[in-house]
Amino acid sequence: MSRIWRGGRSRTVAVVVWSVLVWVALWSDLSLANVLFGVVAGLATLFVLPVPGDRERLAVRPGALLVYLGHFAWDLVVSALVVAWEIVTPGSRISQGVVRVPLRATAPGIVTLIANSISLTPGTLTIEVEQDPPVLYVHVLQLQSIEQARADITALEDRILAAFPNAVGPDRGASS
Amino acid sequence: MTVLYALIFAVLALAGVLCLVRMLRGASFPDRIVALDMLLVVVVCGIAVDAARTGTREYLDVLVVASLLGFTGTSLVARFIERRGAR
Amino acid sequence: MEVVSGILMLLGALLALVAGIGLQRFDDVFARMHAATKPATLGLALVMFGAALQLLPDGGAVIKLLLVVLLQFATAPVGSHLVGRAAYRAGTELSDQTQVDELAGVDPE
Repeated sequence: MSRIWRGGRSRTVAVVVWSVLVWVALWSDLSLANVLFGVVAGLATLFVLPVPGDRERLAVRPGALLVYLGHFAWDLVVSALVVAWEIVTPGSRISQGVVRVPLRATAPGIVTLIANSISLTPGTLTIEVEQDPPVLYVHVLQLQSIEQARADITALEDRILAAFPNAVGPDRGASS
Repeated sequence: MTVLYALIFAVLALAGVLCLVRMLRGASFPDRIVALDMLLVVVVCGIAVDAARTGTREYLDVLVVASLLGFTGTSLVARFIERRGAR
Repeated sequence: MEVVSGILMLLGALLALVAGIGLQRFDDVFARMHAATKPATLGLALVMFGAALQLLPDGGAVIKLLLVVLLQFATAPVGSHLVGRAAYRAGTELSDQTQVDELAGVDPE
């Protein structure tokens, strides 16, 4: 039974709550039986696939998180329009490239968040991720200059790090 | 209003055909799976539009399952490509 | 209200069409993935919002539609990343218009 709590108490509770919400939504029926079964389903999932216990605790700053989400939503709309414009206008001006971007964040969840956000923002797509030290390789659709692309992505990382301040690990150069 | 729905379906159908073309032409395996994933997105859109048009809600569960299975399929094919090459 | 949801759905469908055109126009896998992930996901979101507006009194239906949007946002980037990585490692050629490839000599492991 302790397998269930392996990821930490808040993560376990979050998974169970999410499981209840999805279960009730899928059955469109808010009844006690459904809620209980949602809890059972969540616990069963955690038992079979426990959350790894080596995840660090992440502090969140809600204000910065909202800023990031707002920027993200705006970027999403812009990205679709930019790609749409690129597709519809004749004659291609695209010159693409794969850019290497070293990251400062080390928490795996945050690296994942950065990589996913990159894939949903204008003109960039994460292709390869290295963990140690954390580096992303990003395919860029309209590459003006390597430094510009790298600067844009680092700005994205800044916004995410503003929302999750302790995602940066200990100084590199320390052992392990 | 019916005209609007007909237009939506026509646009989606055209998008689907384009995905299908890429899936058949596609220079390599990754092209085909990308096109297939997009075709799934188009189909999900189509089902949602139809649900909105007629008010039948029975098929909406299909959308959730289809999205998940589409992702699972894409990931599995990606593993396959890594092992076996892109041809 | 029905017109508003209809317009949202039409915009979403048009974005999906644009994504389909992009699949044809771009000449390498990675560019096509740009087309398949971004406009398609946003188009799907628009269609779902439009349909949700139309079905509004029924909370269950709305939640299911929004759930699909959430799932798609979470899985589309990961899916494209996996396929892109696999395609790169399998040696797919990049288009002629690729300026720079900093991943070229790097050993992934």
